[in-house]
Amino acid sequence: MTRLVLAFFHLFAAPIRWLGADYDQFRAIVHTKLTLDSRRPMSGMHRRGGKKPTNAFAWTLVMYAFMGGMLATIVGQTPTPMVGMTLMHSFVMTMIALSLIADFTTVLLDTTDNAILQPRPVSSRTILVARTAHIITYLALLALSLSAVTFVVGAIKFHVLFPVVLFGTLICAVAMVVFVVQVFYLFAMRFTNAEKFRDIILYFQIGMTIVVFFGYQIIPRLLARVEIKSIVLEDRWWIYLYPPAWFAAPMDLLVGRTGTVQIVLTVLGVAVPLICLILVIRVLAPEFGRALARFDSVPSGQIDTHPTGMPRTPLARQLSRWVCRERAERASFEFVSQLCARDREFKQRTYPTFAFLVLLPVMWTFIGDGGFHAALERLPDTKQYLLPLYLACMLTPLTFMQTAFSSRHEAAWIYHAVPLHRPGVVLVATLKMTFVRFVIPAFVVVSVLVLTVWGFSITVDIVAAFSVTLFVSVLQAILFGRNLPFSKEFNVAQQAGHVGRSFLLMILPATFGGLHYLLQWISPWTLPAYAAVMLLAAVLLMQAYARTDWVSLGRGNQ
Amino acid sequence: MNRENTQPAIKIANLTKSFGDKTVLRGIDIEVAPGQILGYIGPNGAGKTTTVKILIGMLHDFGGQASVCGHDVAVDPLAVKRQIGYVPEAAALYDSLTPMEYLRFVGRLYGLEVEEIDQRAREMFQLFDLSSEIDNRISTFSKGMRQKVLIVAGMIHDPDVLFLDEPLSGLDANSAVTVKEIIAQLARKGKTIFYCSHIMDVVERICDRIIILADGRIVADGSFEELQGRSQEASLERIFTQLTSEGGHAELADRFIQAFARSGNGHD
Repeated sequence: MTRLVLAFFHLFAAPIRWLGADYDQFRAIVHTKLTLDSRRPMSGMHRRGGKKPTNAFAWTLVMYAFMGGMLATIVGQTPTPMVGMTLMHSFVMTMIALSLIADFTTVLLDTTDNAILQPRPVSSRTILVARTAHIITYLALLALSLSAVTFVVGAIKFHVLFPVVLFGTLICAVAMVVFVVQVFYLFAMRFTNAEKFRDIILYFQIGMTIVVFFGYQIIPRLLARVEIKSIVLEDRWWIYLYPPAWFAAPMDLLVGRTGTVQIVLTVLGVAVPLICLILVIRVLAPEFGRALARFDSVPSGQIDTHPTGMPRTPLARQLSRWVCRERAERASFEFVSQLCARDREFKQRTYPTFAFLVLLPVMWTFIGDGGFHAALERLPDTKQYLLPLYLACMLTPLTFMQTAFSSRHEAAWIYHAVPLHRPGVVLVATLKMTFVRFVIPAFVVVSVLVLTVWGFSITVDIVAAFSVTLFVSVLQAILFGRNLPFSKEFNVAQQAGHVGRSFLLMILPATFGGLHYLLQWISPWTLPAYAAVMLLAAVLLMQAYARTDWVSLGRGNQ
Repeated sequence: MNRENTQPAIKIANLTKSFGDKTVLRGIDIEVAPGQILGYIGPNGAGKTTTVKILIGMLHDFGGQASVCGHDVAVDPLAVKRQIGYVPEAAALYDSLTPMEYLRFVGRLYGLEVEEIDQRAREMFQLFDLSSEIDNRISTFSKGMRQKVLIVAGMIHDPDVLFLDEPLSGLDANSAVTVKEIIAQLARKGKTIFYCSHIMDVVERICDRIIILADGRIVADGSFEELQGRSQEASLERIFTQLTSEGGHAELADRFIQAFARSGNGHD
């Protein structure tokens, strides 16, 4: 794949030079990055420098192709190519933006190769162009697999040349998403210091993820209310402000619907990404290099610890006394707790989850039939409180999965240097830490939400759902999570791949939630019994998990 | 060694640098002639690495003037970077590449042709007894082998000025001798070496000029013989401790040992 991508970028050698990047250096960097991605990290077993396909990423591509296929059936029903393609591009751009913000921001702002690239005569413009190209490669692959079926449908239904045009518009759409996000990042870098910027990025990511998710929920519902076959877009004023429409307009031109609207939109679709590109590379790139260097050089230790870190230490130690028995377990609990509180990358990956927990249920209520008030009157008679509860069951265990990863994973040597008889002690401490720090607070918040709507009669359900969550967490930990905290590296392909595994992790909570729903009809005692059984199972599994020895460590990954 | 007519390879005037409210460099003035081997030493946190990072164009926003090979670091860092080599201390490498792939990558960043890189790298690796490892991933390498890769990567483009930060760390005795000999020969060819280290007897032997840095200031500058004459001490180690600490090392060691006793029972 590396060669194919390089050959593709070779077509753009002249524009890349025009942007002010050194093409040979650009090629060397992109080549190296792709080679690195194609290799599994740090496995002493493979001494030869052979290639290994990135399975996780391939899985994601297959899943995306499947999701895109479902959308293609809707696209096939639309009256004009533009309507269908507006839908298609909205979908693709949403998914790309989500992926970019959730998975690839760390790649864009990566400082780990500063030590390698900074002493070399490479301009920050070249580095920025190379990084952008690297990220666009992955996002373009995602976009192409999302629209794989549409390529065929469009060619049959609209025009033979449809796939060619779609390929072009998809690349423009991906580039647009990347550049808009970069413009924001680079402006933010210019006006803040490194620490503030990282905070801004964190909250921006969380905010964007939420906005995108909202859109994702609302648009299909809005569409459900309109007759797809009768949609007309040309006379809507807002399409000029709606980027997916820009990239859809060329399709209308292709089939001969050459109105002024289509022409204006097409021009916008070509011009705006280009303007963003020029702004990013020509105007803002020098700032990028400086900011990266600054990020690396600021002795962030002092800044990081004193406002948030210091008061937490005694609390974590106090909590560890309550929930852990062994001394090593307490020490691990406190240690992992501190790392989670300070590791910004960890926060980036986990915090959006918690926003969803609250916002999704609220949104479901809002956009239900008849609006908010009607929903509030109707809800107490339903069993829908199970949804937010099992949403928590689905999302909160993922925080534990995230504790395994760190950009400073090498530091994990310490576990092997200290006289630790069983790594299970550290694993259990980490799991308990996620319970105390994330699962329990999340349940408290969700419980408050559902109790205000349904009242105290559902207390048993909350307890049962909480027990199930503990059980599911431990089960998932045993299946997928025998990794010491902050001990694994994530590379680009793996990060994209984790979407695929998360999908698998959804099935467990859904199953146990379904069981919960069925059991409550049998007798008033089945639910408490269910809760008790789950809790007991959780405790037993936890003991098994604590027995994890050095041999079984790392087992059950991929 | 004094070549008064030639332009200095490195020129620093009143260099200052601070991170936030922490001042690291408080006004440094250095001129290094081509062909000189400069030993740059100082206690931990004295500002050695900061100086080097400024000179190689990795750190911006500093005060004062700094130029390397006639190029102002602040104005044209790329021109500087093209002419220098940098061997950082225990720095990151792309672990899943092989050393050959890594060098091809680095070499191409300097605009070298792949064939040229391959040929040079093979020869250099052979000198370091690394030929058999050339196609294995760096992740399988020992510390010393990684250091050899860093050294070769820092020299592959035949730089005029070489910045070495503890270059011998992890090397076996044979390779260390080879590197020291390489340094001496490079200097004879007119290359300038900026050598940072904590290993005093190496600095004493290979450097023809030594600068001692303490708390962001230069506290001594001259050849080893000159420093000896000024301080009346025999070894560089003694000169160094005399200039950069309050003394009383035996007492410090004593208190260090006492720490076990004072905290009661140290372990379970």
